[in-house]
Amino acid sequence: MAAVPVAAQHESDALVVPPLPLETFRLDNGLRVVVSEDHSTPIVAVEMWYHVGSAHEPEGRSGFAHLFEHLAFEDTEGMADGDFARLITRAGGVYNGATDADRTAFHEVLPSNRVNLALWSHAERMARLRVGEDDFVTQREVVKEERRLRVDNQPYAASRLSVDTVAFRDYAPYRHSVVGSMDDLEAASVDDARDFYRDFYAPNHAVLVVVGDVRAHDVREMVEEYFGDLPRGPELPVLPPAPPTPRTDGERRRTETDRLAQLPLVWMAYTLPPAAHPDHRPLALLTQILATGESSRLRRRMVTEEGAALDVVAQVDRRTRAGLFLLGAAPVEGVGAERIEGLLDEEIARVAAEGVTLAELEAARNQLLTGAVTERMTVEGKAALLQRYVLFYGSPDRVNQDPARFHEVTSEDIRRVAAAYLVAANRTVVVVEPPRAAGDGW
Amino acid sequence: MRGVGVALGAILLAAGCAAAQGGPPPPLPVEEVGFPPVHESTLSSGAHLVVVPWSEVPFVTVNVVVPGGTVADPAGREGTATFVARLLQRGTGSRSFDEIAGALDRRGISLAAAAAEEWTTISLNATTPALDEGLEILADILVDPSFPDDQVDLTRTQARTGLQVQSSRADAVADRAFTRRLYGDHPYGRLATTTSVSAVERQDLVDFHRRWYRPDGAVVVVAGDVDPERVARRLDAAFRGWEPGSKPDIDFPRAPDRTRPEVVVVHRPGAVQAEIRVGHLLMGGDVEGWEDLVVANQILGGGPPGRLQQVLRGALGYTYDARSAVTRQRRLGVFRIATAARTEVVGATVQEIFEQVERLRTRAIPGSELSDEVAFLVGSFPRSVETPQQVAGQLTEWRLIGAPADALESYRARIAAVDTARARAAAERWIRPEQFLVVVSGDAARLQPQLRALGEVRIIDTEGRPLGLSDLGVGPASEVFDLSHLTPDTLTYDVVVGGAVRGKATRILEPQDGGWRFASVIQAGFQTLEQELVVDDALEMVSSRNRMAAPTKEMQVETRREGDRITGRAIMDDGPRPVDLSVPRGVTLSDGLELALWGSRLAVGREIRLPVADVQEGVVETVVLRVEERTEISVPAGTFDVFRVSVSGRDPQTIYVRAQGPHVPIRMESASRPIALELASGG
Repeated sequence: MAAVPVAAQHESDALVVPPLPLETFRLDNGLRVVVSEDHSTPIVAVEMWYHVGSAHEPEGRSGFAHLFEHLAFEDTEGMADGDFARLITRAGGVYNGATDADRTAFHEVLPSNRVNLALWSHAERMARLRVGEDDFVTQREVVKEERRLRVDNQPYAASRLSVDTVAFRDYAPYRHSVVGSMDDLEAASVDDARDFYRDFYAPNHAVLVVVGDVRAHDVREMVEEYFGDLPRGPELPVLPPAPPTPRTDGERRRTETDRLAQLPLVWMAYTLPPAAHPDHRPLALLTQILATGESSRLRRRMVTEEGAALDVVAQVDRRTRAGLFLLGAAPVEGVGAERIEGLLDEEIARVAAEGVTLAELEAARNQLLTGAVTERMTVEGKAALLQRYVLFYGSPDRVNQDPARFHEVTSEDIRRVAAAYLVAANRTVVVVEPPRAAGDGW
Repeated sequence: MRGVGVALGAILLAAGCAAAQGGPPPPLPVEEVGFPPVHESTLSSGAHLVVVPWSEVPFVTVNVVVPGGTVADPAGREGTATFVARLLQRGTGSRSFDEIAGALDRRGISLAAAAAEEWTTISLNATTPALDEGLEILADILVDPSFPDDQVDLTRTQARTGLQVQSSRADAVADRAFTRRLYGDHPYGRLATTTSVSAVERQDLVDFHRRWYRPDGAVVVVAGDVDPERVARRLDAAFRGWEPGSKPDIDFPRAPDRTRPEVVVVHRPGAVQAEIRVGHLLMGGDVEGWEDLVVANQILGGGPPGRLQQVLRGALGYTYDARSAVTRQRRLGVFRIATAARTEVVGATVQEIFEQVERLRTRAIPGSELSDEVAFLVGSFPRSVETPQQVAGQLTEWRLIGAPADALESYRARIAAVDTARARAAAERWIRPEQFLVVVSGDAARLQPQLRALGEVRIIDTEGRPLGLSDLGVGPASEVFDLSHLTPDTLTYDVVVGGAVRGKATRILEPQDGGWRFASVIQAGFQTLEQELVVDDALEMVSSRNRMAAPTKEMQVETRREGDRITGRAIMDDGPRPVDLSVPRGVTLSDGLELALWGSRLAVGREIRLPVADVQEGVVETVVLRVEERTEISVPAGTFDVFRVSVSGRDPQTIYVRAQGPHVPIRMESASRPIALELASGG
């Protein structure tokens, strides 16, 4: 019997993330378009990302990108009040919008024979939005209420914003929050909003991704019909690069009182390079190994064995110009923040000295690859993935090669990134403490 | 999913209208939804196998459906089927809970199980390379679960907590009462209660599993990246040792036949908002003409464009949301309208519901209204069959109600074929106002007069016990309190949970605005509960502030009394909502009970009755404090001569207060949960 090569055996058992077909083109006015055909179900995801987020807001205008996301659901010349929602919903579709530091996103999923409706409505919103005084005032109040509910009234939410403020204190674009400050929102006028719309909501600052049961050729024709005549917007200043990472200027630390908090919480954030940097691959695996699942290192040590923490999380916050490796842990009653910091330090030092086991590496890889498969199971998941690639890498081309490259990451790679980035000189520690109670002081 | 399809374009193009100048473009021709051939076979264990190969992504969903669901729960132990489902993956004869969880983590596999009325579904989701290992674990938990004692206890506690949370929600209270009355003695109407889940023992689970988790009558549905023959072989190998057994017969008595409307009010005293459910049973199974009824229902109450929403919300402003739904199971189906309205317009709301149903049954449906709703149903359907999980779920459901193999594939065409005449005829035939069951949860004293025109109004409490009209009133307090002689104080307590100290609590009494501010803070584990009650010298509530905080969630309620109303705002997980209660004179909140004892003259046998509002749940009730005996207890602060006082009501408890006045609370223990506060210092 002929021996089966080990590689081949491995091959048959390996999870292969299926490639996405890609068609890309660019209109003369600068609109970039990516189409990925998927004829398995007669639906389509249409996703428009404007490459403007809270990072692009000038001083004193924090919260503007997000406020404008709300306004972009209002009237256009071709759609009166409420028409957009009604048209999409009546076609059997769903829609939403979202804003972060780097971009403002709008997307729909609907039957593929209504792809023209979605494309037309995006063109309406890009070129023919009516920014009225009444809508502006209404949406500003909605956003202020959102800030009260999500930040001002949520224990620990303000501290997550503090992490950004301290970690990016020398990089203005990432220093302030997406939702913005109440003062800046209050100071905003409808003219500011109109200027913002004119400058940013233009084809040369936008990327359109269409995924689903459509033909790339037909999409191109429709895109040319609806968007071809729209004028370019002004060129905008490019954001400066973030300071280099890892930082070497020493640990930054802040202790703050959260009036809503009842127990302390510890955040440790290490600055990372921009999202496109190759070190993000081992860093992604490391977050899984540290804190995903009951058998992950930090959970096992801090929650199960030592009973010191109620919960612990690890995640990477990737942005176009920088990132954060974020650890968060909540101590159980009677355990102080120093003990939590000590345990986190010990476990990080262990990775930086010894790397991780092959079994841990394999489990983390399986989890990430399973995530990559499920992400590609829906048109909506695929559209967001392609948008992320264009935003981070400038093109969607790498999307089909990247998953397999998790197999190239070794224990030594993980050890190296832990030793390089997860060091005291590169970190920001924010300790949240509950207010001292009146009375006996507990 | 595409394979052979059914042409729909012509039908739907007719429904689309030409675009106005500058308006939205008209629909393009409809693309087909097709399904790959469905492979059916019988596994060697006797289970029926349905495989839908679909190789777009390397992912597979396997649903194993075994006969036996909530209808098979032993009498008095309702909840058993759900316990069995939840405990399957908590340990087997050969794998511990940790081993199962570790193996699933390592391969990125997910497993879940849930009991429905007549069956239980166990679902596996795995990438293709992890499928074989997933099938082995699936077979192990299905055939050989060990039901470890500690996990059984944990599940029982979780179930009780879940039911307690439900009983505090007006919508859940209405839903449960509707289900019970609707089905009568039919086992579809059997629901778990805190009593029934407390009675479930490990042996019940072992017995249930032995009887019902059998391959004869079981269906295995596989959708995803598989070869039908290979997956059949793998399933046979994994399920070896799974033997057929004899299943007991379940008696299905006839569900109630109503010939005139039945009206039931679940009394929630003081509530100013009422939850309304109106509906009746339908035939079950795969009945002819079902799609006609689906379209008719969509016109009546399918979300915001539906008539109920347009009229009850838009035109009349009675409600935020009003919907109707038609659902079906193997034996019975249900038509149900659900809405909520302010107490004073409940009668008018129910009357309008009857009118809208009558209009749908007897008047012609405009063509454009029908085509809009058909376009929505046809357009939204493909989103429900996008992934292997969705396809497996839909196929499983359709299979279990007895629909033919191609029912899913032809669904859109059958909906698209419904016209105005068929939809109206279906409404007339299927929806029968004379058989309506109307269930309203709210303040029965104010609802009964509005609803009696419909027929006799039966009033029950949240436990289902009948109430008379004379039981409804919540009177003023049995005495006038005088707190003017109290002195400020600070007390601290240990929070004892299941015998161990798990936190701290304080009570601070201080003068404010000519009355008292009584602040209490309980911190246990990671949760903190803060309550602040301001009362006047006669103990009547002035304002309150409650806050529950944990790292990831927070609830906050702030209220103020003005005359006979308590108003304010509650910020819960699902957003802010107003608080509005009508209350009797002398009303207080639950913390005020301690103050009532603190400031009164007590003796054994004394009873104090007073109205207590629960601002979070929006109800008022009469609470009776009864001094049961004089005794002695030891707590961390020392040994005390005390009165033992029983406290009735929604949250019954026992309070031990110092026998010598002022009667400060020494120990407080909940009657329903293993939690107590014991005085640590002060007093």
